[in-house]
Amino acid sequence: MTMQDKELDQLFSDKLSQLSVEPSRGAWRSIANGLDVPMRQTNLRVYLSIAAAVLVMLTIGVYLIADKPVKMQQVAGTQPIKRKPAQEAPAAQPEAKQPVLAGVTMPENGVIAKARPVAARKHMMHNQLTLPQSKPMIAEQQPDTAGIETTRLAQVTLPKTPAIKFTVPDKSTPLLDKTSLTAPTAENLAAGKSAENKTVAAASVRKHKIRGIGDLLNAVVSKIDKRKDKLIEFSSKDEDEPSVTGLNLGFIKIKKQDR
Amino acid sequence: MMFLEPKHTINELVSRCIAGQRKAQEQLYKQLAPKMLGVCMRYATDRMEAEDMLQNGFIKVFGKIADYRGDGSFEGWVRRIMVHSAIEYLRRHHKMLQVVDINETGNKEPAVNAAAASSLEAKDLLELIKTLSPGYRMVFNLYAIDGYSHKEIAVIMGITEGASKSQLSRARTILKEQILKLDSKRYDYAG
Repeated sequence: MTMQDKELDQLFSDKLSQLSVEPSRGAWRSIANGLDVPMRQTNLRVYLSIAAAVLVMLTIGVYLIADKPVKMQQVAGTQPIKRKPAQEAPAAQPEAKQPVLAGVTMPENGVIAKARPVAARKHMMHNQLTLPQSKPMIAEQQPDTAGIETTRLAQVTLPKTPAIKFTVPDKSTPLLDKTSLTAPTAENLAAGKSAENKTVAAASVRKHKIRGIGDLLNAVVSKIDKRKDKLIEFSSKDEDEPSVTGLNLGFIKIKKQDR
Repeated sequence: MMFLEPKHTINELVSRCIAGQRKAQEQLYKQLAPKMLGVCMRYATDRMEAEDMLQNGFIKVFGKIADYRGDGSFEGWVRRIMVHSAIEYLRRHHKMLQVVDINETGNKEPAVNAAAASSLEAKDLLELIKTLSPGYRMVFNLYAIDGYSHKEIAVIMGITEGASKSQLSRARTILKEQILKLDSKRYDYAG
């Protein structure tokens, strides 16, 4: 009698469904170890991911709060401290030194202007460029303010208007030309330099192709973080697994020196 | 029978296992491991694979033990986990659908003597199952021994019901052929 499919199934089921085989001695030990390891691993993984998330949020928060305005305050805050005695001393000096004072304060404004956005800087540059046009007006005002001491004028108007303007009424036009020519050129040089740097940086960014995840992350970070040492830098060597080569949290700076 | 303890003892053991008591886990393991290794042996290609399946299965059992609601036997619940663990292992370590030789597929149904086949021992049948490719072995085990339907097999293995049916049919044919070979060997030996 030939065997049917169901009979075959039944034969295997009857004889094998209750099959019992004694496990090897070490089997329980490896199960017990396996029960311990995943718990430890998951706990560690959870803690690490929470720590990483907190760190990232903290650094982003710190970066956003202590963004550019803080930098400006620091720059502006450190410089006047140094120059305070220098400013007070010329105030007591004769009026002849006032243009020099105005000349001194100029670069200070220039420094602040550097930290300003490009649009604001352009606007400032535009003002400086259009200065010779407004020269006749200032020249007209000159007779009116002739009687008033130039020191007082400088003291009153100094914080309101750019320092360049005070060089105008004080001395003759050649000096104005000098200052208006020299000052803006220094300014322009600085602006030009930064602009050049920017274009070079932009060119280098454009030239550098994004080859891996590391490069992509670097590109994203550089969009947000304009500092030289970025918040986080990745290696672009390994295309598959990017490794962190630099970290700048403000108070902690780590940078891998490869090369 | 290995499992002679009253049900309340099992429930007590289970609740101690839920509490994470290592001693209770070991006790439960000792009671169920031989049977579960028997299950794994049917699915595995060799003993080492079976022990790996058993280990993974028990880690899952203790990980999910709080999900056991008490409806149905606890052993049945563990067995299902063990079967899934075995399938998962095979899917990870073997190609599921192996290409079958053209010579094998065209053969007509082998005529196996039922009486002769029934004299085969469990050990022999286990050896026969191991000759099947992992895909066929899985379908045959699931359908013929563990009582899963083609619909369930299709879901578990990620294949169509039709593929499950055709693989079962092919597995049966191969097993019958193997039984015939075994019979002829016996006959030769006896003669």
